[in-house]
Amino acid sequence: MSGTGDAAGAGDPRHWSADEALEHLYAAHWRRLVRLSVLLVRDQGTAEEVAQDAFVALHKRWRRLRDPDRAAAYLRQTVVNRSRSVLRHRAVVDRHAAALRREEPVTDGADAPALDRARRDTVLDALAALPDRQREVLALRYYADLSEAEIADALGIARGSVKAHASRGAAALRGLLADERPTAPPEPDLNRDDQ
Amino acid sequence: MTDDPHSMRHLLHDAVDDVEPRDRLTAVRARAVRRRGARRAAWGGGALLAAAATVVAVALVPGTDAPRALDPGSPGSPGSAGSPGPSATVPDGATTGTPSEGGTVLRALYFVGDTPRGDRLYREFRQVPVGTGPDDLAPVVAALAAGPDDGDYRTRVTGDGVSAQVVEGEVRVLVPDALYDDPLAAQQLLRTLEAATDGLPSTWYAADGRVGSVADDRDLLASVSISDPAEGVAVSGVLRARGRGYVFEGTVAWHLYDVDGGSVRDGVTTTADSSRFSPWQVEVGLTGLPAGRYLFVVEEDDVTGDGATSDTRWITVEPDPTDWRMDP
Repeated sequence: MSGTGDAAGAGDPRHWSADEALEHLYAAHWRRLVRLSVLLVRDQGTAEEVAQDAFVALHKRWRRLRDPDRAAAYLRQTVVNRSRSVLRHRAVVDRHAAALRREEPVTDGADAPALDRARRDTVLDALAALPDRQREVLALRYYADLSEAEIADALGIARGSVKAHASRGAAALRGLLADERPTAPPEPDLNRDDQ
Repeated sequence: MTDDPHSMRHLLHDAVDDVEPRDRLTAVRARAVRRRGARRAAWGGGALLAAAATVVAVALVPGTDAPRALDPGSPGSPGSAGSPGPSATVPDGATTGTPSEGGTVLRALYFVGDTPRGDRLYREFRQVPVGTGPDDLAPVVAALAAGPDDGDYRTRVTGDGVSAQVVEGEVRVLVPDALYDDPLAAQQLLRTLEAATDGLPSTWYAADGRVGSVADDRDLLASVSISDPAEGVAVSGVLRARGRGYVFEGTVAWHLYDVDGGSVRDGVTTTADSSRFSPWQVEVGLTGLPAGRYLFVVEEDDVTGDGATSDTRWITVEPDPTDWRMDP
């Protein structure tokens, strides 16, 4: 891997070459971005492809980034947009796959890891049933820990819309999970904006 | 943040905490290198292909083959031949104008266009007949209902049953059922009327008592748009283009294509403020270009590959009398 940065600039994104940026940012964000995409597209393999595309796109336009310090935000935004695009283009396939997943029974007496997985699948299925915007806002708010302003910036929508999508999404998710859990999660603090 | 197992944050983290993605760094590196090599080898071809695709897409829209140009001889018409340039005739932020001798006034009309984020509003400056008084908004509503000059836009306001009046410092708009059931159409109407009254707040009222006001810019407007030049204007020497945008890092890419889809000029400009909708402008030298029709395109930087919002204008380049290098 070639690079032009010296030791003094090794920690400063503004001094990174595109190849160096790829290395640094992949090490720092790969796993978290894949997980974010899993929340959005449900399928891990697809999520890995989405995150991979995001890193390739970043490498492509690294020299044109006005503010390399915001590279992580750029990657996150790309993952969200590409995840949405994947869902649109593969809606039929995804619905079919989701139907197949729901048909897989959880066997009685399953061990703890299997039960954990089933619980997590229930949450992912419920997320998948939400409208795109609600799912994206919830994932960015409660997984990526972004503020309302940051979510508005990442999604290109108004802060008021973020609040509305978060509120409706949380309510819808609670409703979907109500049948699966003894107690639904409490109302989240949607006014919190301290990130 | 509490680690309450029932909290939304815990719920989402728990759902993916066991996801351990495979290492794809090698694949990412390989794709990055391939992309770099391909870009070097096929730079010209790729650009031409992209340009051709743009032109074909536009040509399929009825009306764009023969753009309905504004009367090029009328005072105040954007980009009229012999004028200093389009920017001299459509001042930035202009929402009302001085009535011309022909009984028209420059108005900003909002129309609907396609974007990767769905339908959004674009602004078009037009000469609209003067009403019976400053508060007579009927000609503006009629112009909106008549449709755009730019064939890429469309209107969702029919004008039937719409009544707009200025009352106590605000525009009150009575709308029919069809309009209040179509939020974007209602916003198209409110934005236009707000602009026509130099920013008076606009509110729509439905027969059943429902009311609505102007929505946030980011939910409503195309992320990048051209205010100037107008569709179909004639230009010589320099094309002075302007518009508004709220795009990633304020970066607005622009291109000028000939009728065959060949790229003849391109570049990048920036908006004044990348944190909100703000103006951009660019001057494109036309010296040396053969006279004829050209397509001016602006687009946001497609940083995510999800598709870029763009706006286009056909212009006609006329011979520049000051260009001594051109053959007679």
